[in-house]
Amino acid sequence: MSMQPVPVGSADYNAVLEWLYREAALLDSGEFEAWFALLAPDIAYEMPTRQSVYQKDGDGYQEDFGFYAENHSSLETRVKRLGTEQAWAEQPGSRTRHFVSNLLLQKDGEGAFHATTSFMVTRIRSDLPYDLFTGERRDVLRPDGGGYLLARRTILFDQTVLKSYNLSIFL
Amino acid sequence: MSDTVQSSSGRVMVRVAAMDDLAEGRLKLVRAAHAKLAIVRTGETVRAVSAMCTHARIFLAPGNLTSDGLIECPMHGAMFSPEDGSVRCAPATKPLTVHEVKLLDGEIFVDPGEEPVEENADTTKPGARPSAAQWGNWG
Amino acid sequence: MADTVDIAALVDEEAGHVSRRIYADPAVYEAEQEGLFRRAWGFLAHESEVPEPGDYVERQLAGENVLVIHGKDGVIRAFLNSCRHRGMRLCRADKGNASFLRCPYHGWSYSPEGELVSVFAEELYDAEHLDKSELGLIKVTQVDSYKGFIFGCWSEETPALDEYLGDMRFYLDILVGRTPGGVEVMGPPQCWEVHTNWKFATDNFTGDNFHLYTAHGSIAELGLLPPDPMALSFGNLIQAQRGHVLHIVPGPPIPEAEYFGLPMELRPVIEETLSEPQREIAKGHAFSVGTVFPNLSFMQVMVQGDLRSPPTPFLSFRIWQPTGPTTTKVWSWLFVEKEASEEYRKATYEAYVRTFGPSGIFEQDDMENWEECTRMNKGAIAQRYNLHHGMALQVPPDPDFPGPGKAWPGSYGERTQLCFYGEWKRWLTQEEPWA
Repeated sequence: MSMQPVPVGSADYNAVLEWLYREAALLDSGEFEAWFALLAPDIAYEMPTRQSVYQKDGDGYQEDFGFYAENHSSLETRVKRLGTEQAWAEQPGSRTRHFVSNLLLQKDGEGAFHATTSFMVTRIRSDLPYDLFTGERRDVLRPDGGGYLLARRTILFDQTVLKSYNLSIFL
Repeated sequence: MSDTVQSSSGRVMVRVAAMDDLAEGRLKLVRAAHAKLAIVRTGETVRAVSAMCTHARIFLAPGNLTSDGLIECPMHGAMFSPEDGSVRCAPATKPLTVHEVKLLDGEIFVDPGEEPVEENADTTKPGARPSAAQWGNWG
Repeated sequence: MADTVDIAALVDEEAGHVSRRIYADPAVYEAEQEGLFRRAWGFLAHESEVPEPGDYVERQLAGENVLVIHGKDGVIRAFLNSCRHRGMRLCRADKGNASFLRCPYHGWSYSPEGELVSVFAEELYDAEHLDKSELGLIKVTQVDSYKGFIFGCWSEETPALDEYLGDMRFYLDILVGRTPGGVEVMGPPQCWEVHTNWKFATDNFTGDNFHLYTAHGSIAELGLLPPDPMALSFGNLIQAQRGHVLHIVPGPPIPEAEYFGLPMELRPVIEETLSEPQREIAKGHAFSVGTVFPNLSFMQVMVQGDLRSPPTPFLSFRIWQPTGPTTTKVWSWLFVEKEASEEYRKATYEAYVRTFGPSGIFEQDDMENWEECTRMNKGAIAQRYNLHHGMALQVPPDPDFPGPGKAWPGSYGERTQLCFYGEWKRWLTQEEPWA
């Protein structure tokens, strides 16, 4: 697939960046149904596990095994679950902040944008110290009407052992 | 005073409490023969319904009705009307059973109803199996 | 004061009482590290994780880092992952393949079989001060495997693995020995850290089938659990032997839910592989959760991974590794039959990841409960009041149950949890708890 770099500051770049900011705002304000509306029907949402390995053995990501292996239906299930009264992991809800930065953007031959970003997510529950989630997102955004639909998200997590007791939030 | 009276249809009704034991807007759990029942007083009227929530099979709790005058199950929040046992709020889908009440000289008599044939087998009996109906779309 | 704790008084199996202190007290933690974890058999790795000579994974046994390594001679061994020279952590990756294990500090090197083969500047030692044959890697005292599951034990006195597992092998076979090829891991273990005492995890995996409709009430609300909260109350609570316990639960009365819902194409070979009583149990049940004493738990369950997928089975084993009085590291492996199709592998993986593990729509709520239970049980006032394990203790065992051990009819109850705590108490208080 021929990939064209999209320069920092160009109209496409700014539009994708704004989309990412708006997406983060929806997640942080708990508007999960509005967030779900941003997902393409064929979305693949994955987060491979990572192990600590010597450099000769690569980066330690396990491509076919992870913490998330989601499609549209399973993400819908997760969003609906968050709307129930007994989703105890999010009752009361987490307070999160999604920081998304370092956007590098490319456009493929079919007009979809491939966005690589760094993320840092803080989560605070109850009166506990915050959990910190950091890593890289590899997203595919497909133009749709005036905006984009998220067609793919691969979350490359920095931790090998998740230092949090659960992943009840979206990264 | 006798502990039992006959209903209009000739059934045996069992004394479960006195009117003075009941406060307005509060649910009281009573036993009538084999049946555990919830009784509620509204003015000079008393209603009796089955005391086990039809959803998760736990007993309803004695105490205040909701501000709307409904019975709220303590476990999952299902709500029922004390008037006719009807479901007013999920997750229950089946109504509570209404039992006939008779007031006599300030005493409350209730028809315990037929001894129920258990819908679900006793799970602690060796070899007991669930019925297809318990599984919904899993079955 | 804390070191004078009277362990025997903390569990009353007859009354169904368990002290809150067992989940939070540092003195209890120390007592169980010494009495239990440094003496009991612990799961280290599955053979399918180290298939080739030189393959290794780093694991933990009683809090010590252990290297499980496949020797050039085909034997899988387990060593303390610590150089004999300065104690340096020898292998510093979670997994890998090595022809030699070279210490990054001063270069002492070991063979995959654990012998010290080379010492830097060896000519500067005299024979009196360096005997390489005495300085091999420190072996895990006992290492053995059962159906590909490699266990280690730090005590010489503890009975051999076969005797230790005893009649639990009958039930393990139903899960991991039901096809000629047995099972293999799918991917590496998921690892995560929980601020809980490890026994809240085992408490949940030693027979607690009745938390489903409350702890996982959200799943019921979504319609992904059977509508009747008593549908899953059938089956048996089983004490296979001593502290090894499990429960088995029948599914809906349809053929798809027999044999734990495993794919139809595997059924003939499963029927052929299992013994008659094992076959009867496998055929009649869709769910089984249990624990190999002390902290290796398993679940063989059918779940709907999302609103549109049918109930799909998965088999997971997990280690609840204590890292402190109120902290636990979870290791969770997904297993699949070696004979399984690609299609089934994908389905079972998705069903597992969507429902269990830290992101699972079931398990994330478990962690919430276990953390909050632990937090609440730390209080000195709270610890004056025992916790309650009294459900269905009056039910007698079924004398005609086809499997070994004791089986109590009905899977809602707290009998097997008490079996676990009774055994836990014996290991913390007796010289020879296995006797």
